[in-house]
Amino acid sequence: MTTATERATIERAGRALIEAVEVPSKVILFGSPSPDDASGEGDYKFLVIEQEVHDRFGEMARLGALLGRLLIPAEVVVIDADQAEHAGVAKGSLIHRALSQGRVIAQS
Amino acid sequence: MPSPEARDFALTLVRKAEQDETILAKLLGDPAAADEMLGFHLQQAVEKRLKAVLAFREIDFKRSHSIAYLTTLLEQNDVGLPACRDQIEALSPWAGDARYEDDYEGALDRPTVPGLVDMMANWSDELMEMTTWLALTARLLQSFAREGVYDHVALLVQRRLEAFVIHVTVDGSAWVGSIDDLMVQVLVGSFDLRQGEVVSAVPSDQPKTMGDGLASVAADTFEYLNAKQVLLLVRSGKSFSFMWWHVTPERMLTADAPSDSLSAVLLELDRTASSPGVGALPEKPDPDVRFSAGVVHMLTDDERASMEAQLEAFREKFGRDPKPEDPIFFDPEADEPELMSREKFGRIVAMAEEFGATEYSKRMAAAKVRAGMVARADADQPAPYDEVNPVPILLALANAVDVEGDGLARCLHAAVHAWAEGHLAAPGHPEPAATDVPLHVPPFPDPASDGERLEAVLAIARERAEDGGSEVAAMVVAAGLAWELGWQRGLECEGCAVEHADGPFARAMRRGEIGISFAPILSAPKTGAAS
Repeated sequence: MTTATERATIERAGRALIEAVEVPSKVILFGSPSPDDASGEGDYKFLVIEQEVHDRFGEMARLGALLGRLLIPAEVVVIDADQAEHAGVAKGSLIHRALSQGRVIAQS
Repeated sequence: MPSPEARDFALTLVRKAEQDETILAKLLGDPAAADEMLGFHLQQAVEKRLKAVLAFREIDFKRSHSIAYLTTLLEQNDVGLPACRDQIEALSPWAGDARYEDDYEGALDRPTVPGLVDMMANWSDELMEMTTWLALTARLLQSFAREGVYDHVALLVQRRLEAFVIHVTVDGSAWVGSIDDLMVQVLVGSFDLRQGEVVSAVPSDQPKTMGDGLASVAADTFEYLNAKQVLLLVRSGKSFSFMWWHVTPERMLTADAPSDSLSAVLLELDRTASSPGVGALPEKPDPDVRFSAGVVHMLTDDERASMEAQLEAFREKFGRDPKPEDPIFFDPEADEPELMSREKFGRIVAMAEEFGATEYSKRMAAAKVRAGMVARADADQPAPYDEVNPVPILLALANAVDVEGDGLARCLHAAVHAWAEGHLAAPGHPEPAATDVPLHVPPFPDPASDGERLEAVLAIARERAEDGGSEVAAMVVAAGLAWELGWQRGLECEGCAVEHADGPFARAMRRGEIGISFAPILSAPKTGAAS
């Protein structure tokens, strides 16, 4: 169950990410700290699909830091549209899970 | 100060960070080690350092791998961030789930890694007050003195207390560094150090008081100094380094390359010692114990200054340069260059302990020896140094560290308390004396009659600070000098109301719970040296 606070956090993260990347792009939430978990903590996980990505590691670092400075603990995975089409096919992979089970929270 | 639980948690995180740093140090130069492995350990080391500071400051945090989240949390709690903030925030992806499926080879800027590791270690150490070694030592000794056990000394290792340095041996002559090296001897001599951990406390036949311990250790130190090799421990930013020093026939100080971890040294010792395991650290270094190819050890500025001062003293005394066979640390009272006697050396050590423990103060003590000012054993009153218990002085320093105001206020606090301790140490004070004169209890300096002398002490302490020394060092100097002045006052004293000296009021004063105001002295203009 997502609390109002978490919904607000997710919305804020989606807005920050979509504003930080080129149009068109898409932000998918595929993991979040579970309030039912005894540890109750961890990182939000976002997949950002951009049309083109030249420095994938650098882009993940940039967007992750962007959320961190908003005090949103998150891992941001970045792929380009081509990867979204092919890498998502491999079942069991992180991107497959993100694409098949995640939900789009922002797009442009 | 954090709660003990918070401190322990923070220190656990530091130790975990050090584990990652150790792996990095070992693998960074190995081209076969993948960037992903190194990047992961670098991110982990940074993350744990940040979390350690958060824990130490008792700031709650989520179990996140996001470096930017952790730095921002610190920032919002007014904790100063390291200068490498942007660099470390870019490390987060190394710990993300995506690393399992991506190839990040080439993404790690390897040459920058050691600098980042050091910067983070120094940053967290500073914020966790791990570099104010004297303050920490004193606090630990407070616990130690209260509970009367050696277990707390283990914390000196666990909390990576700063610098234990400088045993130099040249042709059997000796120079002792700081009081820390005595602590090293305590550590080395009193603990079974194996596999990087302190696995047992001091044997039952070891001294049970700190004063006894230091006295015993001082004697042991002399034995070490007369050796041609010395075990040296140096705190280098984030960890202890251990090395053997050697003295070559050419009087060069050489050292084997320092080992970067205690466990590595101990493994080496286990391999080379005749009886591995318990007692793996030999009482004296074995000439055959070597860790790697020898390198010339560069003297620190302080060491170099000490040696140069000694060289100059030799020239002044004998009107010529020393020859190869002349001892560096000569007897100042002998007409010809002779090695300083063991007794005189012991006196210097005792004086240095009284002064409080800094390299500077020991040089001051040595200067007094050279100037013939230590012939106190022959004077009317016996020298007090043999009976000095450093614990009260350290307690005074520990309390002074927390005094609000500027450095001079802290020096003054240390000085007046040390003065009182010196007074109480003077002969005749163990027994209460009958007197109708109203006296301070305990006998702190009287602002009216002692103010000028106390002011001179503060002037010297201020000079010490202005001479590039740390504030703590200045406090130590102030405490040491004031102790001696208090002791002299104690000699003149007809007897003070010492029956109350251990009462609740006096004890509260010693704990720093009752303030003492010396406002006129604090505002006084700078003056010259003590009379």
